[in-house]
Amino acid sequence: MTVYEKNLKVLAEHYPGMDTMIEEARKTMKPKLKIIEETAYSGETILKIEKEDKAYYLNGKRNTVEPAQIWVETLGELQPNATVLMVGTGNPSYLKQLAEHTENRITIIIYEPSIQIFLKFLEMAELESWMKKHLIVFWVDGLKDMDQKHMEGILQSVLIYEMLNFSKNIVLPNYGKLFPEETVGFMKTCRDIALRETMDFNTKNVFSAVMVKNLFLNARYLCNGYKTTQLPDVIPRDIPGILVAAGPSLNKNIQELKKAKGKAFIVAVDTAMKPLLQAGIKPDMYAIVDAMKPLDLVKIEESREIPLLTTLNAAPEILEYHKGMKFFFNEGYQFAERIFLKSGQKIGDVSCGGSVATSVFSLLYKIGIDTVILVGQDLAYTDNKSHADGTFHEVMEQVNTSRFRMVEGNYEEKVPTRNDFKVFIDWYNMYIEGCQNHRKNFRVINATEGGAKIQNTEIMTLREAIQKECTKEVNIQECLGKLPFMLDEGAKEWAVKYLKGLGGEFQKLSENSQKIVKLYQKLDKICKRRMIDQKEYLNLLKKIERKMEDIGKKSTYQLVMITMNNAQYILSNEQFLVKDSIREEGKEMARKGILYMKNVAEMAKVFKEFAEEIFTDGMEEVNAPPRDEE
Amino acid sequence: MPAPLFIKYKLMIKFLEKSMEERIQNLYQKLRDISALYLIYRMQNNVEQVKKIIPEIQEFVLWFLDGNRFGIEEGLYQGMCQNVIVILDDILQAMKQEDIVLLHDAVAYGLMEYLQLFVEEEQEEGTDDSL
Repeated sequence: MTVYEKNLKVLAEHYPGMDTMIEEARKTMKPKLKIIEETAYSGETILKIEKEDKAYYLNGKRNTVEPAQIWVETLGELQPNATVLMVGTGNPSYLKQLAEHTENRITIIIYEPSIQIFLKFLEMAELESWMKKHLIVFWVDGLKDMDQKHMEGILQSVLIYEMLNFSKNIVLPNYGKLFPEETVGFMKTCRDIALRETMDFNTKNVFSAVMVKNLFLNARYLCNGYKTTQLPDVIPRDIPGILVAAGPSLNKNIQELKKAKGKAFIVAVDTAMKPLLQAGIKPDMYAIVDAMKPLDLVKIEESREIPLLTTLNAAPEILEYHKGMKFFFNEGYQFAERIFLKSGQKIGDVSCGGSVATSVFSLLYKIGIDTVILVGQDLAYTDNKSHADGTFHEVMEQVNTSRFRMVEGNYEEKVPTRNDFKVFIDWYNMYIEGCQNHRKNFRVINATEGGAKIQNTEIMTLREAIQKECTKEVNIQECLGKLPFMLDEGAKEWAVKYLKGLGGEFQKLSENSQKIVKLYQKLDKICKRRMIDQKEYLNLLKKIERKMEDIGKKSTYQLVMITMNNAQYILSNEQFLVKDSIREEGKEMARKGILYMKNVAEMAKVFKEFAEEIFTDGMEEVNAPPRDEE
Repeated sequence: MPAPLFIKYKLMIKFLEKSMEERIQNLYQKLRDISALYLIYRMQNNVEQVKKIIPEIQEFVLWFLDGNRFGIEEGLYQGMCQNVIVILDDILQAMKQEDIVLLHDAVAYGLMEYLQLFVEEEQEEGTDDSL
């Protein structure tokens, strides 16, 4: 059996069908490169690749080992499950050194832009022992369904925040020259995923402190609120939805929006409210999802009665100021889910996407609207401004964008943008593609008249879009007026009682957490004895696990967890560090467990007082609801 | 009274040799730094860096080829001369193609081995306990 045949067999064992894919590609591929095999001074086969008028060696002829060896040495000791991202297989020394000299089991993702080189690699390197030792994933352009676009899923599963510190990458020398676009594309994909993970973590961190306070304050509005899943009952599908964002281009076509009033479902983001109302345009709904948006952005009398799409986490000052219909959706907070369940309304969320505008976009799609028109959705610094005039300031300041990253524009070849905007652009690209796959007649018209390009959208002016699409009269206010509250009287009484009881549930959580602290202290004691009683040790671990499972089911525990994002990170990050003995591991577990559970107990105490304070005033007591915590 | 001509000539040779030794040392250090940056920090600009010192490399190769003054057995010296020409050819080829792999290979595992013959290894700091 040749090395190539052995490798196909090994790959098929790990990834059923991969051998067939490789064989198919081998038969059908059209060579794009000239691959020259040379013999190194050591006798090994090395590759030289000719592309256009250039030739590049992938390995040296005098020393085939040292560059890879030194690279692996510079990585240091890799933690279990650490991810190594590698571009290129044309020099097998790198994979060989990595696989053979890394003791812990790691994940190696290898991207190869050339099927031709990959086939040569399969003739040169024996994979069996490496694949037994580590999780190795090959992603090869030219194999069925393997391209950069589909690679994101795999990368997302390995580039999790807790593991980013342990991730390493390498582009094999000369790959950057042979495959510049593919290499940059791969590295950009990795960078964007890492960036999203980091942003998500940082956002959670910044917001976690205020989140629970917001959740409690806003939960009161559930009792007289509405659900987004009620909207399809009253909003016609055959009118367009207009998403008004607050990008700088909004100033160019804001007046046109008057013509769309009464002929579309116009939903604005919070930041666009002031310029809209000042221009005499009253949107049919507006949205706020941000926990720390200042009230000043929407503090204008006409906004108070306009229906509001919101989240439980949104700035409570705005929800208090607002007096009209408030629409909520399922967000996964267990305590609120119980209230939603009581409403009997359909389950339905709104994809977040990271910004208020992406939430509105998702809402429009989810309530069944087939044509969405984007306005002011620049996602770029059009005219060097971040937002439209009249939003944060009467005239927004122009900033120096010369060092900003550039992306393709709607009207200009390149426009400056920033990292968070780029994440939203990527979200739109991905989400719209998914929507259109799912609903063939779903269209998105980008009438922003500036800004960054979003894939799968039709670019036209707002005037043209309104002329073409806003052809049917509709009175949205009348439509929404037909909706009953989400909770009927009985359910509302239940919800009030339920919220009032949350303080008591936090008290129980605090007590149970203290009990777990004691168990961890006992574990620490056991581990400090000269002889460890393994049976006692394991029994104690099981007991702790059971207790942890119990409190993990409580909706109150979820709320505590939200505020402990940092602590959670420390613990989950350290779980990848392995200790040498049961004693050391036990002591470490006890140390972290005590620290963590003491935090939980303390936090639960704070929330108890908080819940009692918020849910006591102004909430009528009716009948006793069943508790989930019993 | 002026020194005899032959004494003057000998002194000049000695002076030139000393100067060459320093230049070799200097070249070796530059190439060692370029190789280390390539290997450890994966810097991809070795072509640009080596381009700047090509005259020094050529000077060394020509000096080496200019007769066997090193006490090496003649057959071995001729083999070494042929090899250094191949190395120089690889370096020039790598520069032309912008091939960072070939360049590193020719420099680190080719030319530097020759330079090393004339370079005293630096003593690591603090290794001499008797001081």
